Amino acid sequence: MSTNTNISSETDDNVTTPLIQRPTRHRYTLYHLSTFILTFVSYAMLHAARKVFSNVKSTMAEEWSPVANETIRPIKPDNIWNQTRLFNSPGDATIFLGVLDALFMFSYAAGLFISGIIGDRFDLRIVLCSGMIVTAIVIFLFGVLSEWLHIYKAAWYISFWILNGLAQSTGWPCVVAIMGNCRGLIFGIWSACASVGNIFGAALAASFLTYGYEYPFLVCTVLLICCAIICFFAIIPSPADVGMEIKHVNTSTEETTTRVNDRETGEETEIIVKTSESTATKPITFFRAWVLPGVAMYSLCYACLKLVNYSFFFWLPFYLHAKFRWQESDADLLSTLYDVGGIIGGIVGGLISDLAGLRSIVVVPALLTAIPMLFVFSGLANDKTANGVVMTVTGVFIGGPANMISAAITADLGRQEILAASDQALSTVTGIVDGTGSFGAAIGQVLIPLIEKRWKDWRFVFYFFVLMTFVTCCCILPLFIRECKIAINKIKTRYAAHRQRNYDTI
Amino acid sequence: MMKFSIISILFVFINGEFEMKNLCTDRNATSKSVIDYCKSQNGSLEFRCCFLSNSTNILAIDLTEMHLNKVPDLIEFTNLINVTMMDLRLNPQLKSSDKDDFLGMKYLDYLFLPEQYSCPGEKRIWQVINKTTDPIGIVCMHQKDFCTNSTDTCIEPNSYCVSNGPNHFLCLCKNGYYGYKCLRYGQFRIGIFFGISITVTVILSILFYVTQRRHVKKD
Repeated sequence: MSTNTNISSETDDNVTTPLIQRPTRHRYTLYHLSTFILTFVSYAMLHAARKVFSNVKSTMAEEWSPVANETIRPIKPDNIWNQTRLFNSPGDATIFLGVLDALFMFSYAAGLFISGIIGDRFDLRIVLCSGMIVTAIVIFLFGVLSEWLHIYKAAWYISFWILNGLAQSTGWPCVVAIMGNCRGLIFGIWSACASVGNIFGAALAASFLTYGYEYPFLVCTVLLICCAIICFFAIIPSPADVGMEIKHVNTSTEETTTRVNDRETGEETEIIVKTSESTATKPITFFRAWVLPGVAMYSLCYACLKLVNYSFFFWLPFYLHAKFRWQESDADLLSTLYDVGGIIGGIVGGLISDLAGLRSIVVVPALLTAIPMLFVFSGLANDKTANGVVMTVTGVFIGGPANMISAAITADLGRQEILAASDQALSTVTGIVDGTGSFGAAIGQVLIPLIEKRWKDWRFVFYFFVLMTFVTCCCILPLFIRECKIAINKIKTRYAAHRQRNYDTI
Repeated sequence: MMKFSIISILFVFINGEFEMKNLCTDRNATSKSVIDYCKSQNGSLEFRCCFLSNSTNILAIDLTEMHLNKVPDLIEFTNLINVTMMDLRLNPQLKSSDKDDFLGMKYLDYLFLPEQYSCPGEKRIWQVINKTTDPIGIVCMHQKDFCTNSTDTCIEPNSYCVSNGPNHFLCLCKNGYYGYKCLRYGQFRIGIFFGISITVTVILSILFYVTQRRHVKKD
């Protein structure tokens, strides 16, 4: 990573540091493919469970309350229209559901830190599978059992949804760590799993909602358990387990002690760069993971970005309904387009940065492009096509970097050379970055309705998004500047080498 | 103490019984409209109430001079469900409560009311409204279907309107829809779903285990 080793061409010409771990030769085997698919599907399924809740919310609000008294005449018969199961009106129920969301995000964020630590210490396969099974059970209790047994209690819903947040947090650190062990795979495409999960969850909800809101939850439960079983029998957390060599490109083959001055954390670290054999791996401590170069900075940056990404994605249907009076199905479709944009952005961004070898020079311009897009979107008229197009493009430029940071960059941070090769850090680092990000998203969930209520205008929400995007850029500005210099140097040297070759041939 | 409670419970029961019968067995019917109507329908007059030969439900009832405060409702007097004519005149203390009065009396075609009580729903609900002189009151004739004559009926989706007495209606679920607020449609095929998912899980697990994890070296 460009953050840690400042042994760039300015200081030391002997050590040519590849800034991203790129294996010299990719050897894709069946293990790589099955790991890709299994981790992809596992995390998509976990994310789908979350999205199902978002999409059945309005139906749940209806089921929990009597009919809103809009007409003068109350509607009879009472047992069809007027049972007060939990709340007095759908409006109250909606507020409660918003509270549930915020609680979920906070518990998810807290759980991420814990799960990251756990993932580095135990078998990733077991942590992932048990997380999926606990999620399945909790979802069943939350959505299915409560409806079948008519248990309408706020305490029930709150406690199980918090448990859900903790259980789901095992997913991301584990899958990133498993994928990170299998090096050489296309992270950009893989990082689309969250968005694919969203789309799948939306499809699930739409298909099974007519039978009753508990059926999407039931389907999710069963699918999660099936996935957990398949993963238990199938996932190989690390190619070393089956005796495959680890494709690990080292910084240099000499055993030298070099003083590295990391400008950004200000510490001088002594690293012993050596050819590494896979020795017994030991997990990194939580605090050492925090002080790894780049982790703190990317964590903060991801907090701001995930705030925008999540709030945008989550409040979008509500905004469209409030401003344009769109139907829920149309609004949901549009947020799916945002997801699609995120997928495209993540894949393209991941590939470009893989080829260029530098991450932040892709992230920062994308975010800066997103700022005018947000302004455009806030001023759009009530036109479905225009909104759809702008939505997709915004998704590319905000969701794309978000996907990149949460997957590819996190994996880079967790595998950087400053770690002795025996350190298991990937899961912990993933937990830290995503945990901070999720805290940011949780704060956003609480802030957005407050902002909207205070200024009574959705434009201020968009200004807030713009501000947060800008702060994100500022957070990675030092890194961006450094990478720009490296890129320029690379181009110069390549151009010089090319010219040299031309002279030689003459 | 026990004796007192037992006696009071018994008293309540008996009173309840009497309540049911009290509507009819107070005295003979005096309202000419009820008597004439009963004769024309070949029913038999039993004190105040007119019964058809093969039914325990009241066809027409004469409730004049009963010192009623409120209209008798179907919850208390279930055999009023098919009543076609009701005479409530000469009840000066009768007060209207729009929400519950005449709820469920779908077949009420002739309603005689004291002068202080206007026809529920007025011309929207009744085809003919006239004043009567002997005794003094109002007659409301021929209920219109509430649903076809009103705009603010069942706005909730998947429900349709059904009349439920003068100025009352029910919103029932349309065909195929059921459950609370008619939100549900169709039946989830649990059997098929579980069958398919379990089969696929078993097959994939075996497949993956054989090709993948079997090679894991335990160290």
